[in-house]
Amino acid sequence: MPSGLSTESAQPRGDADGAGRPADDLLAVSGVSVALRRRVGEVMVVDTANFTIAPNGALGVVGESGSGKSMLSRALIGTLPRYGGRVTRGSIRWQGRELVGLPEKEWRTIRGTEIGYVPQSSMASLNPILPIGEQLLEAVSNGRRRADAEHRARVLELLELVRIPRAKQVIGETAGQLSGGMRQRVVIAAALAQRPKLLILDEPTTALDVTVQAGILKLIVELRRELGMAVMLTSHDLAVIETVCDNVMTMYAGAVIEIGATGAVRQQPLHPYTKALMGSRVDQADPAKELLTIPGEPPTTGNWPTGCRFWPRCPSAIDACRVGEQPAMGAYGERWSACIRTEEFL
Amino acid sequence: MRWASRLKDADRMFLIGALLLALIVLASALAPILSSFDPVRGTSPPMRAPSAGHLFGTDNLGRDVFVRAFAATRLDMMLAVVAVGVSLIVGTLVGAVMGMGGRSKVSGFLNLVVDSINAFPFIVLALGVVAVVGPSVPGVLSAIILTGWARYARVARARTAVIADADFVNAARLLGYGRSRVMIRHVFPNVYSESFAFALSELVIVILAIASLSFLGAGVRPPTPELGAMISEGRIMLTRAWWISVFPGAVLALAALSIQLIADGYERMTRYA
Amino acid sequence: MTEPIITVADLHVTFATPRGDVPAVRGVDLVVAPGETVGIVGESGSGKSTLARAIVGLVDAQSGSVTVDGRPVRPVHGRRSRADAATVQMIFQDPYSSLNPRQRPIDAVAEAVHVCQRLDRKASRARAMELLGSVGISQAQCRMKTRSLSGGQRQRVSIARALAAEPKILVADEPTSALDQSIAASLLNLLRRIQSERGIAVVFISHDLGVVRYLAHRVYVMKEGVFVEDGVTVDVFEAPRHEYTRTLVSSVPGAGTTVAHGHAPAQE
Ligand SMILES: Nc1ncnc2c1ncn2[C@@H]1O[C@H](COP(=O)(O)OP(=O)(O)O)[C@@H](O)[C@H]1O
Ligand SMILES: Nc1ncnc2c1ncn2[C@@H]1O[C@H](COP(=O)(O)OP(=O)(O)O)[C@@H](O)[C@H]1O
Ligand SMILES: [Mg+2]
Ligand SMILES: [Mg+2]
Repeated sequence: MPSGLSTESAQPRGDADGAGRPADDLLAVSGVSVALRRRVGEVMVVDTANFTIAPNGALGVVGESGSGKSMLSRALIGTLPRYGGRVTRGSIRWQGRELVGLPEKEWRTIRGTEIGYVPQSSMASLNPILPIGEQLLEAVSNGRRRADAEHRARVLELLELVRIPRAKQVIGETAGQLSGGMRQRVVIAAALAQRPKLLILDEPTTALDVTVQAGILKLIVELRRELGMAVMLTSHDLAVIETVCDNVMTMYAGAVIEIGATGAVRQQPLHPYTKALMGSRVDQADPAKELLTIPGEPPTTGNWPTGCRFWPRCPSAIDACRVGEQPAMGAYGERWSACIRTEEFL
Repeated sequence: MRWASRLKDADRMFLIGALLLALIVLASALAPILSSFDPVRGTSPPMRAPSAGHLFGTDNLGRDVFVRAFAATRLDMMLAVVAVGVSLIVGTLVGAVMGMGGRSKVSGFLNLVVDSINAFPFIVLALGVVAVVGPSVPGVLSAIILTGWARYARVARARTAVIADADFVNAARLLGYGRSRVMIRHVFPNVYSESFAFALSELVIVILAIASLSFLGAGVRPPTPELGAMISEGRIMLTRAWWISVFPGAVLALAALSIQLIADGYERMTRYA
Repeated sequence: MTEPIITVADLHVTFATPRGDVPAVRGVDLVVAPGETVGIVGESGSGKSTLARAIVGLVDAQSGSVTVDGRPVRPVHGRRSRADAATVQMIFQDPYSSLNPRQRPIDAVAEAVHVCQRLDRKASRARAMELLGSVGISQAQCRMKTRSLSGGQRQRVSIARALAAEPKILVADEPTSALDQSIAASLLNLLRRIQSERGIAVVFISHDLGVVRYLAHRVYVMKEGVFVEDGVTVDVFEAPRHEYTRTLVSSVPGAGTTVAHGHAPAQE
């Protein structure tokens, strides 16, 4: 069974199965829902997500904006919006240890330490006046007494790890003196400071030019290989995920609707939404033909339709798609799809 | 209706403010009419402590403090609304012209005037105007308006400069819309909404300023009932008859609080809309 | 070749800033034929938007000339004639600032029709409805508040508003960059349809090579305020001559430099 997969039908392997077998997954997410408090009340932004990440696996999460990619990532490292963001149900197991409901104090032993995190647009959130070295020192010392020689050496090592040229000079420079690509490398270096086993990157290249993006993606691939760590990367761009990840997970309107090996999904997407997303890719399109498009727009959070979230826009929708809950994912060989008609498309 | 639905989930503070203000407005509208006491001529025994007959007691001239306080509130609020309204309209128009104006001579001159007025402490400038016009209702009004419009001009100038650069304004220019159409239909309405929110928050400051001027003897003169003047008059009797200045003070504070709550609430509502 | 509808000759645009002069466009030559789609690609800060603005007259050139439909482009700050508006219109990158928040779609487009076509109120609104319908905005959406429209819907409204002037040229500055892929795709189809049905010349600016490859007949590659290469789109992308173009083309994810494996890499 390839990593990156699990569903309710296939018992999430993160749960030690009765006999106390230690979980072999690094991260096992089962049935996780995330809600945020709005003025109208609590709204669900991630609905019953199931997936796993194996040691040294690379999972890409693709979905259009508002589909819940960031909220899912933030749930995994316990930094949901402090006011009113919470995991309403489900379990997140990190090497067998339950993370849902973990007290904040214990989160510190996981977040940044075991799981590194590069938030969306984080390169814009570097302190503009503090030297890069000082900011990295904070990440390296992680709240312990700081500034000894060992820590300083580690800062230099980290900058070299993320291929920053003139690392010694950059230590004394401020974020304003660095280009966007260099800033993003610094942020990745900070996330790697405690040698995490999993690095979560939320849209790490979204605001970057293609040449810079290519460099960052290459870095992520190499770091994963060198450090033997696992990667979870979110993007709205399938091409980015194909560059870095073995497995791809599609999200639509808060729901995980397809998981599979990147190549397989690319060749034959199972879920009609993934298929439509592939069809609307302009980078693969024949200029002589019209682009395939998805009619309408994604539903806004809190206004999800009943039944399958995608049916109002789906070319293959039948009556059964329109009723009940969002269908749970079913296993099809080594792939998973939440479309109830998957069998017919195979 | 859209407004009502926004109001429904608007925060409680706004509603409390609105309710409080409604009560104060109602009291100041009705008290002078319904009461048998005259706000200017004293007909009761002087210096009586609050009682069922005189809720806020009477002052040294035998006038009912309750009736006087609310007559004063009515005057202060009307003055504030007129002063803020005029400053808002004049200031926003001038500011919008300045924001659009670029580097013409006229806008250079206006900039100088606006910045000079804003550079002075408000109360000092207002006292100066009163010194010329004389301490009276027109005096207070002109003092507030002459010093106030420049603040609106500054707000509108900054906002206009931003809006004038927005893509929808560029699109309007590209479509060949005339200058006045661009200004009136596209720039001004977007500047105005922000200025209006600013005016609401200024209302409090202006009410307090009117009261302060009168307190200092540079505003509405006795015997006309005015909150600042009443507080000032009662000051010397504070130990013997605290109610003469404390009640007007409390009414002033409540009026200011209610408007502040409304202004904050309005700002929040338009921000999240 | 037919007479070009846009001719830009040795254009220089410099911005005076408190920290000195910023030369954004440094000597650019460009021609666009009637009915042609020309793409301009380049990284951010390369001067694409400045060039676009110079073509429509939103920024003044330092030197050089921009000739549009046989006449020098007129700065929009002066009085633009109806003929100017009917020559070139522009679509902007940010859907959230390109519509007046105080106007509903129908009002925004009807105003443009009214001014540009000199139609009365009723006729303007009828024509605006047609235009909005033709870009895929439903009757209900026409009357919605702008703030409740999505980014893609806003861009469609902007296109309808631009079409109200019946321009010969449409300059589109990254019109899909702020949109999600599936939304962007339908907008690109729309632009292509407009271009072919109305025979409009389109100057399409983007940092996204895929989009430009798909849409443009010819492409100019911009870097640091100058064009480093231009030519027929397929030629430029299949056989780039300039070093920078090569880097650009090979940086597109999935374009040869792909480092993915399709399966888990061997454990080391
Ligand atoms: N900080 C926040 N506070 C409140 N709502 C948020 C916040 N961030 C995102 N949301 C909402 O949560 C939903 C999911 O958003 P997100 O996870 O950011 O999607 P994605 O990352 O896929 O674009 C959206 O409806 C979005 O509006
Ligand atoms: N209004 C302006 N004032 C000062 N500098 C500007 C202005 N507009 C653009 N620039 C500068 O000109 C250069 C080109 O910008 P722009 O044309 O926006 O590039 P692009 O659209 O390719 O990203 C950049 O260095 C930018 O900082
Ligand atoms: Mg996100
Ligand atoms: Mg640009």
